[in-house]
Amino acid sequence: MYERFRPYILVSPALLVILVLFIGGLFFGLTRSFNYMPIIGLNDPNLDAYRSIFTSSGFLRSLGLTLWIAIASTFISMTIAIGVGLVLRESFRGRRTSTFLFQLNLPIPHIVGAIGMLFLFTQGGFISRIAHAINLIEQPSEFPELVFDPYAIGIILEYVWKEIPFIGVVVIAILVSIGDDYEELAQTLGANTWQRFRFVLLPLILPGVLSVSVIVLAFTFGAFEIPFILGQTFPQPLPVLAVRNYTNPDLNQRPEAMATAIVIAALSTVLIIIYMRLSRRIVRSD
Amino acid sequence: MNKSLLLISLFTLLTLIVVACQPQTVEVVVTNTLASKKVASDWPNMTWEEVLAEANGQTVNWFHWGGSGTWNNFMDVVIHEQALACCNVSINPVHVNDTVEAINKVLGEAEAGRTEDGSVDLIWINAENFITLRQPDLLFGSYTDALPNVQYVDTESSYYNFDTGWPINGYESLWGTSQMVIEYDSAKVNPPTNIDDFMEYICSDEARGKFTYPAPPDFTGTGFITGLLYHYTGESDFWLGRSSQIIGPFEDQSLALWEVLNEIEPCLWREGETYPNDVVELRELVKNGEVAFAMTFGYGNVDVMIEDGVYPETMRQMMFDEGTVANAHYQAIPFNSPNKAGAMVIANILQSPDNQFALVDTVGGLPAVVVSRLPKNAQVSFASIEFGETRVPFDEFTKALPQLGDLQPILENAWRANVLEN
Repeated sequence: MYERFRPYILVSPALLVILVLFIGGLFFGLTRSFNYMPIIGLNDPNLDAYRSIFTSSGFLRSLGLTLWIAIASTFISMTIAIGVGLVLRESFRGRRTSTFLFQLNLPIPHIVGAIGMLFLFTQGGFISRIAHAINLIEQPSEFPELVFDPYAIGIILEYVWKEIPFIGVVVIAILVSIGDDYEELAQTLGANTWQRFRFVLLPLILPGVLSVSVIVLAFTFGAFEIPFILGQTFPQPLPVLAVRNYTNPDLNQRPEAMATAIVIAALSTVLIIIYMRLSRRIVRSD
Repeated sequence: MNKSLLLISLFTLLTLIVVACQPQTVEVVVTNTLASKKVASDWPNMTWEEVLAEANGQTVNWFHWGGSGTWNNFMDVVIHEQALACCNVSINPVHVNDTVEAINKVLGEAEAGRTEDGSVDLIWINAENFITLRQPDLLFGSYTDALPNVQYVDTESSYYNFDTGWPINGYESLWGTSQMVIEYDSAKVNPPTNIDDFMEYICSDEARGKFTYPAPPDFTGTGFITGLLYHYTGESDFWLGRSSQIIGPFEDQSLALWEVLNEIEPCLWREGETYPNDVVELRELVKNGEVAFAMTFGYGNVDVMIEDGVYPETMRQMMFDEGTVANAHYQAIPFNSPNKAGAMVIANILQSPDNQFALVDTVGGLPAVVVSRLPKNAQVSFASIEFGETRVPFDEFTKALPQLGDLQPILENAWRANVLEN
């Protein structure tokens, strides 16, 4: 009897936490987003909140910006991480030190990275001051707008800085486990460097890299603190928009805040599904 | 093995002692409650002595904005020690970044049906946060008339009776006021003090790119554009009579404001493409030399910032000839607070003559009390207040403009639509 239920008993604590916290929160979020909030007299559920956000141009621009940040950060980090991984695989003097330095920022929180970006890249920041000191610019305002800028350069820079080593860890781990055998075999069959990378290494590392970059994609799509610190006032990425609506003292804004949050959750799910499908196809076609 | 056995028996002994002590303290409380009334059930049929008796021994969870060391020290140390000494009430300060965090806590408890034994006893509150809790009737009251120190406050004043246009009806107690001042670096700019000239000055070569304001709905940014709204579209009285029922006319009536704000936008920091989120970010820009202006509701802020090295020593304060928007600080008690008596004691202590003097002299606020109503020695202290050249003199805060009331969110949204997204 016990043996039959054993797996269920063992997973139940974890499942319980997930069900209560996640499904419970999602449920309340959903009811609010349907304009149901009896405490302020909203008793009839409807779709007004969704209608109002999807017809607002501000929301759509926020959505576009959020997608741009997530996709650009993921793609850039992934590319650079693969490149660095390939280099760090070679044996050269100081390889261990380089690898250590490369992964140094793994335990540093995002928020610290963001503050660092502020120190370095604002128009009154460290780099701007150096530029001023060596007479490259005369006034702070001549320094290029890298933070609080319309293209979210500051935000993407922070994500790339933080996610390269994250993806890189996986790349290096896979490369180490592959070893040199496949490549040497390909070389004896006459493959050049590019061909060895394209037809031997890439297909081997891609599945792992793609699955770790899904995590990066989902994170950069839904994270709040980095765009909050480094973002422009308008348009703001969706998570910032949701929090802004949620902290609005006017309780009538709550349904819209919740609708925005639900849209973020739904879209990142869709994004992940599309990404998985695509990446599976890429992996298979190779 | 022996060691751990010893430890376990020691621990058990300790637990037993603690448990054994417990019933005694409970008994004391029981006799206390039998003897006196409770705010939770008997208010308002209680004397101040009965409130003090119930407050004896309470710990008040005080949720307040924690962004300023001087204010924190005043509330968490000065007031705490006084409350402990006079009435055996202690303060457990809970610092929040934004008062709305405390509001959400009370709302959440109300929604979950926690009608007593709530976790928030007292909130430093005003304006829309007050309205948010007052609307669904989640505040305790009316209590402000019952505070003994209210004798020093002008209970006929609009501060006492209205918060941003909303009737207070005794549901939050007045304990300080504040008025917006503009701060500028006198080494870099020399701004005129009337609004029309000031707006022109912003676009002059000297000041171009050196001015910006926090993006509404930040309350300082909203306060700044509210003052401009009054100036460019008519007197404040015109707006205060209105309510949010007239959204249509608002856009039309406020056209002149958006015209001016859009006109100066290219002259702002970063050409108005982005704005600082709040005064903290604005101060950071001053520190980095990116802008030469800041603004604040904190009268003492300029000195604190110079001392902390955020502002250059040449930073000065100014006020528009037309006046600036003022607001007030209040304390409110949530409906489900288990320590209402203690919370009232704190609210009362905040209005005492000594603390009102300290509020102006050391904390950097403006008083809630009328100085002429205070005891003689307190009046003398107030008369002796003198600040350096960095500040606008204390007695020049005469032209206080009211906040916009329930039109405020509409103004904030209109700013987004007409200036930011334009």
